[in-house]
Amino acid sequence: MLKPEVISQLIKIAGKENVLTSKEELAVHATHMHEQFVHPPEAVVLPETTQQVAGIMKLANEHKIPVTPRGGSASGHGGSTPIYGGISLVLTRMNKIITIEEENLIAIVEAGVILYDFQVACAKKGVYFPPDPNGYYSSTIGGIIANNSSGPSSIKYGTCRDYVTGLEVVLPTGEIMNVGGRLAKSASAYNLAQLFTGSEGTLGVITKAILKLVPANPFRKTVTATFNDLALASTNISKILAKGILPFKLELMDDYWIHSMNEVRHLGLPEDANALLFIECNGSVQEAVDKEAEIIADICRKGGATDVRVPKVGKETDELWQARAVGGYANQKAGRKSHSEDMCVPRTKIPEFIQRSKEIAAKYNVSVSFGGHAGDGATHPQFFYDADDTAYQERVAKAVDEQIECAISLGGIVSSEHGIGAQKKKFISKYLDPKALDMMKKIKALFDPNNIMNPGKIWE
Amino acid sequence: MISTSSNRPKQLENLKKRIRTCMDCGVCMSFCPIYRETIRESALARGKNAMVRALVKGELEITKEFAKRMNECLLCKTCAVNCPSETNIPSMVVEMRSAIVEARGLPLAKRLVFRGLMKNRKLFGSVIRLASSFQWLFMPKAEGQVRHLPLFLSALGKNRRIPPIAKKFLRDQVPLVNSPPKGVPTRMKVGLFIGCATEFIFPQVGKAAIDFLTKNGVEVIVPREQGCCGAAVYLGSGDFKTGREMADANVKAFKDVDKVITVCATCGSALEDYAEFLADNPERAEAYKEFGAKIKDISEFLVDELKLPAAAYQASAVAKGLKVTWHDPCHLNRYQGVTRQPREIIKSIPSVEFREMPDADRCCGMAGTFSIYYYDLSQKIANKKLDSIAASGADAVVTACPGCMIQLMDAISRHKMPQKVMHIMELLE
Repeated sequence: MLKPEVISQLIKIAGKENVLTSKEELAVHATHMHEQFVHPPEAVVLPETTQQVAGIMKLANEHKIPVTPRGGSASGHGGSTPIYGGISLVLTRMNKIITIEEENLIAIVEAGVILYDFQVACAKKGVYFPPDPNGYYSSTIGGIIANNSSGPSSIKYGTCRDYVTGLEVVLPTGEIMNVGGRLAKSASAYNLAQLFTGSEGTLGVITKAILKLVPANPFRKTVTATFNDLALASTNISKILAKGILPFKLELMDDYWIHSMNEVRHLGLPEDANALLFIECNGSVQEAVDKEAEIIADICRKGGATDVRVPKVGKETDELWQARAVGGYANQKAGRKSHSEDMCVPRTKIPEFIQRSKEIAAKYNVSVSFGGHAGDGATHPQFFYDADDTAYQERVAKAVDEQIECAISLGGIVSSEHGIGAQKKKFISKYLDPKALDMMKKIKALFDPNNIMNPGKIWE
Repeated sequence: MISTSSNRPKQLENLKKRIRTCMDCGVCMSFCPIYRETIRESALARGKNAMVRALVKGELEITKEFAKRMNECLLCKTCAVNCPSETNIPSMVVEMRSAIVEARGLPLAKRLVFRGLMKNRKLFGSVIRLASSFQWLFMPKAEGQVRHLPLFLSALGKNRRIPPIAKKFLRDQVPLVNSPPKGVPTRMKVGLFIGCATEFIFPQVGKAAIDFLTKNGVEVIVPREQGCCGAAVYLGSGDFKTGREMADANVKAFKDVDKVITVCATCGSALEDYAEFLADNPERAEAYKEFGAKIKDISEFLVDELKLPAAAYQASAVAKGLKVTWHDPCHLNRYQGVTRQPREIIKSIPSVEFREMPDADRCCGMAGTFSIYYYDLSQKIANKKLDSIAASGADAVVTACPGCMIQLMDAISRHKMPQKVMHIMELLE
């Protein structure tokens, strides 16, 4: 446990109501989607200002106390869990949307703003913030920047990295540093804002962000297409792109997903199909969007689809995408758990990756499901297990490891948008250039010589 | 490691499976009204599940703080209906409240009120009457029809402005059997459940319901033996023992009717949920299940069972010309699934204009006993509701839960807003 004098100094810095040390609060902040990363902090601190974060970091650095930043704890790989104890630094009380400037297409927000709230605020002003991880109801801005998150729309708009123009960060020493700025373009020396994007809280604490926005497109249209074969479905992706169409979102899912989505939103998708594509177009001209959707529907029909639908824009379409967002959580009932993976492979390798993954699952006698933002090669295989069956869980862990190796062998990487966290650190040396790896470790040591920032994440 | 602590309640064994349904995704962060105000994980459904999980594992015990966290829930079910894995944390919270009572006992004040007063409707009425005759002593009449009543019973939250106690309680105003007027044939016979707030504060709501039903050919029985529904007792405070006694009394009181009409959303869902929480033997399970199936909210009954034509809905004198908006009580919407019927009724009234408010289904923050202990938090939640009411441009906010009505009257009065708060039955002639 932290020394009483440290606790009283934390209270002095952040206020009594923002420092939690009861057994109950520690248990609450120990949680994680996966049992192996559950670990309680020694104190929970909820700063309300950057100055308070600075004070906390200075104190932690002096006493060499591990600090694990936490937003909504939506990460599936242990990123926000304090696996070495210390302080759980919860940023959710720093939740102000400072400004949304629709004319400059810029927003300034605090790190603890929930992504969904930000999306709603942007929509009211006719602008759009593209990074859209499916955990948007519980992801915070700080969290998605720290993990360079993205979601279905990344095929067209890229990842979080493309929308971070400036950051306010607190370094492990307690110094406050502003990097980047509010301009759309910058050719001014090293881009430190990008260094912090995807750093998973290992270099400092992101407290505020300047974000680039795009105009909201008023017109959308979604096409759904079901197939009898997952690999066959995925071959249609390249055909759509070859027509010069860059869809807004492009999702590939298997029969498990079809069933789950029907369950969470009663969509009535054909349950006898083995694969499903969700493809959405957007734009500023209705006719152009309609035409693109028509071409996509035609490609899918000719490409072996058994059922192609173009649902009505509005409630019907919204429900489809909500189902896509939360469907992966749906089959958790009665003690069934799932482990969602996050490999990215070259788009053309998706069919092979799916085939080999199925063989791996069969080898370990575990069940696996496929869904992902196939438009950019990001796949989220899900492994299911019973929380009480430890032998099964061990087989799942082996299957996951082998599947990661398989992705790497196909020219892929271990994380497309979730981050390395605590789970995948053993793999990064397998696909990063050793020189680059060495440089990264030096950067970590430069920023955080006492290794107090989210220790045990990314690096062993 | 399983705790061998003596205060380990038996409910924990049953919760072993349920605690795993929550997958810690945190989707509830965007929905829990309490989390949205407090930004504290332990207020959240995910946080509460984590505490219960730790309790089951033996890593936590039932402490004062644990109890406090379990009380800090509106039971509004907004988390549950938005949860991808359909985790029902409010139901688990009710079970935990019962476990807390078993482990730590019921606080003295609650013991006196629940077991001494509320179980005995006559005695409860006398005490309320006594309080009402002294109400002028404590505070002069405030704006309109609301008063500050710090005494009545600090139970309703300090400085809450509540309507005055009725001069004549409902059961003193109506007979046991209320038959349709001469010339109107009797189509159906129902029982009317009178909740405490309808009995003592809003008897005109019960009266309006009886008048409307009888006018439309329904004979209304108002059994004298009925008592409190038990919502504050078993749902709010985990006193399952007293809850069972209340449930048994109500089941018995309504044994001769096939349908029991409620004008209070909370009472309705509390009566329906006896089977889920209070059935401790097969006989009770059967009786509560049968009783639960009899319960019908008044709007649901009028629209779905009586199938009245639109012309049956005419404006009362006070409702004529009003623009009204509808507030969905949590216990009507998320518990009983009734949202369409009241809107249909309001839209049918020729001289009333319906205005849908944004987020009509957002909890008003009352939640009975919750607002006793968390009055300030309850008011912050109410403030969001006020924004919606104002945005609707309505002259009156209409609902079907006297608890919500008390909360809305208090909040509207504090903010000096012009809107009236009415029960849907008060709109009808």
